[in-house]
Amino acid sequence: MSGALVHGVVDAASGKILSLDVPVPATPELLASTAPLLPTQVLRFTAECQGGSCGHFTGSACSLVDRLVQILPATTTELPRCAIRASCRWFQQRGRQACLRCDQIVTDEYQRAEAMASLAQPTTRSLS
Amino acid sequence: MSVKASELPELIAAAVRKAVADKVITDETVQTLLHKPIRIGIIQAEPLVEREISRATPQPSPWKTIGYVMDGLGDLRSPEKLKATEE
Repeated sequence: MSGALVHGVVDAASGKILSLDVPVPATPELLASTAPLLPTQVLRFTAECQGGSCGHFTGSACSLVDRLVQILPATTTELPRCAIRASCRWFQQRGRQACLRCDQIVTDEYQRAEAMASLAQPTTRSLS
Repeated sequence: MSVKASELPELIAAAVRKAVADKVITDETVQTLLHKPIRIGIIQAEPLVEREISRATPQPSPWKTIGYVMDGLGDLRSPEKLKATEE
């Protein structure tokens, strides 16, 4: 995706996302460095919200963060450091409750838990 | 908790090692996909020393050759031939 930045990386020990102090561009070299894993299994990306092109978009908001807050437990009680919070849609919609759960989100987990699998299914519309 | 962007390569490598350790992907897969050359072809066996060569000399087989298993299988595909056999 054009303009995507890497703002987090999966911590090998905990499986949680470690936030980068400064997001870095998602260059081809950086993406290739995760081989043989997919970049989305190792890195967290941020990019411009695709709005209606995304199956999670309701027309006015992101439904994924709503399910995230409903389904996942908070992993911390303190607001974690985050370089992208000021422009984050999830934070704009659900505030700190999204942030307290955000470090569990890995785009593509190679060992996906059931809760994550249900979370990832858009409920607004089916994607063709 | 935040980490420095300069630590990213090391963290990525650690995530890949963890995936290997979890046996999600084998180390062989890692090596293959990291563009290590794969040797394809016939691997020459080490030459036998003369003593071993004499031991390895093939002895006459006690088994009588009765033909290949595949012989006659073509008949099984012809119902007419099977009928004739039964009769």
